[in-house]
Amino acid sequence: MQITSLTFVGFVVIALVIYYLLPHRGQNYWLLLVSYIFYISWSWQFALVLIFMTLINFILAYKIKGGEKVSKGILWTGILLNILILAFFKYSGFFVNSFILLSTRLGVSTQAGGIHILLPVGLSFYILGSISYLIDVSRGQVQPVSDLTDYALYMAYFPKLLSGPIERVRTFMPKLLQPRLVDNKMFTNSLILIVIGVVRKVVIADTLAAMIPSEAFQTPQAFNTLNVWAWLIAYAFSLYNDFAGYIDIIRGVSGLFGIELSVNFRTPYFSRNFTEFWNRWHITLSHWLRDYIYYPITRALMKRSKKQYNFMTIVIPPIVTMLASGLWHQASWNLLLWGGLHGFYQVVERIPSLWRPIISPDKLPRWRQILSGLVVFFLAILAWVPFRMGLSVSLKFWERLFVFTNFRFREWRIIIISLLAIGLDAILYFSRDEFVFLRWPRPMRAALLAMAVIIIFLVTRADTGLGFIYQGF
Amino acid sequence: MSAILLGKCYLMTGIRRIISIKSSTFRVIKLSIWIPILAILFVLVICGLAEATIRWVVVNTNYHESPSKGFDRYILELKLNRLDNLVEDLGHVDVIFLGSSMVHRGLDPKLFQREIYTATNHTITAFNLGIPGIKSKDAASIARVLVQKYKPKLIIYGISVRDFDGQYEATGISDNPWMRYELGYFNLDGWLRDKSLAYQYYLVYRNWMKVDFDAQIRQRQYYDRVITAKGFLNKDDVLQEDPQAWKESAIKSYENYFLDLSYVNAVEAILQLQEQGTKIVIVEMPVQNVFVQYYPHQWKDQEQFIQAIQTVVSSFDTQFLPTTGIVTLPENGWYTKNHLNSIGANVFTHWLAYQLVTSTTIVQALIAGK
Repeated sequence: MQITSLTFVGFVVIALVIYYLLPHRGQNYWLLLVSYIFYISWSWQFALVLIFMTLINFILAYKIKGGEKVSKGILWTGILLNILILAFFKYSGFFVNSFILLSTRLGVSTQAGGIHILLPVGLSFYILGSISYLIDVSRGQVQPVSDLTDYALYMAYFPKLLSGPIERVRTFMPKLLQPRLVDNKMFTNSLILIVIGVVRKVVIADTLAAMIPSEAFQTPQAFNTLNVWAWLIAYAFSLYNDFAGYIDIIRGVSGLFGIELSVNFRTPYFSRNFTEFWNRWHITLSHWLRDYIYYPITRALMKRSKKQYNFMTIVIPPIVTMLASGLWHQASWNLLLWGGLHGFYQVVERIPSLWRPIISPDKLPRWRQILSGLVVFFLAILAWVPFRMGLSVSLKFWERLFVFTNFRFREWRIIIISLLAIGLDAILYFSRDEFVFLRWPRPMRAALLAMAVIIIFLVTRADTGLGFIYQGF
Repeated sequence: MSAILLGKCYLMTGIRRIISIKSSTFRVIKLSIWIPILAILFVLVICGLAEATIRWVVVNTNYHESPSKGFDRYILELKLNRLDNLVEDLGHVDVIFLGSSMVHRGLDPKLFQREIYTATNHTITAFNLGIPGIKSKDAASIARVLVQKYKPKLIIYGISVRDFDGQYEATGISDNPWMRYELGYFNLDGWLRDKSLAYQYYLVYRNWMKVDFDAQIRQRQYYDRVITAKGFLNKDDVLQEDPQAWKESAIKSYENYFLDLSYVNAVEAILQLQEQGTKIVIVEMPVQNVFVQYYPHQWKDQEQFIQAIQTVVSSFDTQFLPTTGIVTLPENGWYTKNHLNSIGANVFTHWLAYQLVTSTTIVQALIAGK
């Protein structure tokens, strides 16, 4: 059930009507039921995996905090179990196929024909949620959830199930346990998010994606440099608006149920350094990686050294964290390269901290902020190359970007839509308020809504029909 | 009766109880409806201005690009446009040729009109609605719309083995919102496609974001230039492609051919339209004998197809005109081994007109009805 389909709209409407009529406890049971119905619409086998993971982690949390003493052994068993399950579904193909490739190159013949296991949609996201729960329980930051249905709802809650945001039990469970209220503000904010999300997905992301020829990411050397740059920019904005649009829609849908989901994107292409970028792009994943990988490694390294900023604490944490991020997205060498690049960017940014204090970007002169923003954008889109393509094609793509052929340029449509995307984000960035449109005069709001409806209607007459990119992770 | 009244009473009580339940969660009160109302007004104003502008431009300038109903197959909508113009000018259309690309290239309506006039001294209006790629299920939907909208006196449906090939799905023309609207399933999109010129012209460019948009528009404009006012592709060309490559491609495309009875049933659906006053004649579109060799069971497939159609047609008061082994066509009359060019169409149209005049009472009935 795609969230931009009429089936999903009907599903949400029916779920909402019954939800509003139920008392609080009944609402949780109802949400759990509709969440599983939603998940089963993708595959009943996926639902079985989810049930298994729910039960396992629910029990493990109790075992970790069973007595006065926290059981570190059970904690690590739980973490490893979650990782193994993720690895089985997500990475077994990669390792087996890599082994086959290596064996072939070494002249050792193998009979294996590769391996293909269907990855349950959303597994990568809810496994991180499970791991964070176990760790937070062991740290005493949250008590084990006493009611299985509440924990099952945390795991299966349908708006966030497929592609996040990655919610933590300690912040999300209170929202499930307290009575919800959908007042005028929550209702209007939710509708705004849904409209903005649909514009991002349908008008910007799908349109830009349709403008990129498939051969561009297969044989980039066949095209001229300026067009290749245009397609890379189109991909960058398409990827961002696809995911951000999805998150906006499901945050809006969740808001109609009275449950606020975390903000996951905050105009990342306006970032002035990569620390800021990763506080604006896929925020819940970044913060998960920061809290459970980056900080623990940094703390461990700092115990070995008296200085807070030394070479090891500058290099190892960001590299390891971003490699983990790459691996989480997909088990492939090109995603590891993508992660490694971002790790490298952060290392380079932090090297000056060895001899002077870190300066916040807000304190920089305006011209330096703009320059920094352009550099960050430029480097970020270069890193999207291995995110999108295999290793060998990535090298060819980079080569085409910097070895100029002729200067013929025909992708003016990409420039126009990209400017629209930048304009939308500029409004949100400078106002620092994702609901800024609500403060505009009534006629302007009405005109904007009218234009959005007309443009969405017209753009959807074309036969694009693209899914959501991040549902593949 | 009292049981029914009692049931209604309980139902109304239940409904009142549900309505009176106050939700503890949904506390939206006095939500301003001004924004949606203003937005609707803006939409109406913008659409109105766009419509007025486009209509003014089309009427007062030399802008003659054909509008669109949003079909993937622009030859279909170019021809529907021309048919609309023809009916608007003359008030009626008498004969419509319907079928695939074989009809698109193989039946000349202008020549057909001339042949009928020569034989009967009566003027008729004919139109070619051959659409490349359609199958019999698509033709059935199109035929329904033709009969409802244009009420032709005669539809000549040209068929061949490919129209009944179960390997391939129908094109989905009937899923088009305008088609569904014309077939009686009201939908806003279909209504707009039928009534709004601004929307129709937007639909011409609706794929503006697609990579092959320029090529699509060029091809659309090319067909807009070459298709005649009566819907015919009047070209005497021969396909310039390596014969061996073409042969391999043709064999491959029929590799897993089988006669799909659901497609044969679609012919029956077309014939049933005779109840609405339109005569239907089925004619086999000619192919070169060598082409039959490309079917997996060669002449057996050909015979099976002929027999299936004859069986269906026998239940109706109409004619099926087979052509294999009957019509002789010149060697330079072929675009491909299963498509005529204008030279071949000339001969075949003459033959068809002659058959209809001499061997059937259809043309007499057609003229009598005028």
